[in-house]
Amino acid sequence: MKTCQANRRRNSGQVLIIAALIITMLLLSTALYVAETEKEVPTYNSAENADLSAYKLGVTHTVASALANISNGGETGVLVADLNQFQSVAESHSYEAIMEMHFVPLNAAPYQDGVWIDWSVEGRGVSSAYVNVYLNSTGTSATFRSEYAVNLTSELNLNGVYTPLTGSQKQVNLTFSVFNEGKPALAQNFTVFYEQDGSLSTEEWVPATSPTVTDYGNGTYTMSFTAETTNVDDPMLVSLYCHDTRGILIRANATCTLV
Amino acid sequence: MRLMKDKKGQIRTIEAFFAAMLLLASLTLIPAAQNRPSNSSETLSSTAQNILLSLDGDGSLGSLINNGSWTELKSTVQSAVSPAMWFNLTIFDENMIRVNDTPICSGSPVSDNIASTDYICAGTGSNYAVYIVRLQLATVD
Repeated sequence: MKTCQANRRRNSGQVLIIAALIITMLLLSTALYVAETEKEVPTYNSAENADLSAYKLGVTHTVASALANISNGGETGVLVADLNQFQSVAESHSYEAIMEMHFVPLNAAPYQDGVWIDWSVEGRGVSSAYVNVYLNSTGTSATFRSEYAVNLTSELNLNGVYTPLTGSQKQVNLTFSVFNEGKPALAQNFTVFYEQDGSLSTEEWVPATSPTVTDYGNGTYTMSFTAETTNVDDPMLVSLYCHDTRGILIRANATCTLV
Repeated sequence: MRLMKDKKGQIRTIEAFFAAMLLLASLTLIPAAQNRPSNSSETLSSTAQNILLSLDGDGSLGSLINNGSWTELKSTVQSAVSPAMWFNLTIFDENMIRVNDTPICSGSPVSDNIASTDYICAGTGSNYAVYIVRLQLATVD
């Protein structure tokens, strides 16, 4: 009986050590499990996403540049040519990933080859481009894919009134607003013309001399100038050319109302 | 005597526990020390990319390059980079021919650990051009 008690006393320390070892193993295995689980959590790779953002920004600037060119008298084919140029540079300079790009200019009314320029509506002018873009970046650590549309629309809304002055002179007051993608935007410069005989059958556009412009800072402007038509009763037709800050040209025609 | 024997076991358990904690602590510290240099380089690259992205956001980067306004471009980058950082900006055309005729940098590098980022910048305006903008950054170790 005494020997048994002595054995138990001697073993009690060993049991405690074994228990401590088991606790240690449990702690280690928990730590390892946590470490392994952390490895499997998908990480947000900001660098590669930033690359994709850079390409998206590049495509937007390319479309804006092409629209500026086309609206200023360039060929419609400039859009595809510029996009191909950007694609070629982007694909040959993406070192960390294989970059793939495809562009499809919209060919559904009112767009043709991705471009819609309509300056014929009374009091409104639109210059717009629409391209569907497909981007695919395949890297060693991650793959990114993006399908989206780039739609850049510069719009000009114009309305005007005139007051007869002496003879065939008229005081013209115009109010116009510039929009980029439907939001108020600033204009870079503008030029206004009026039709000398008030008839579009023989177009004789005369530039307005020394117009006074008020910029309200929210995309809305007012302009006033003195015009002289051939006859006293000639209607006042005005044509406003405006470049927005992206260099895109928009034109709007309006018949001013007599007040 | 019996109490002392019991305490001996408990002390061994506490010793084992401390040894385990030491092991765990060393295991967690070693990978952190190994990762530090590469993280710093990645951070610099990411910073460079973000600076170029923000400058190009409104198309000002492309228009400054189109106009050859190197002095203005230098001050724009300088205002975006931390004063403790060294930078060097080089503009290439699509054939990798250097476009900027004057250096756009902030003196000599402050460290050997230089991170470099290439950024493709599409010019704005009706005269279209694509540039490769290389921004190198280094920070004091």
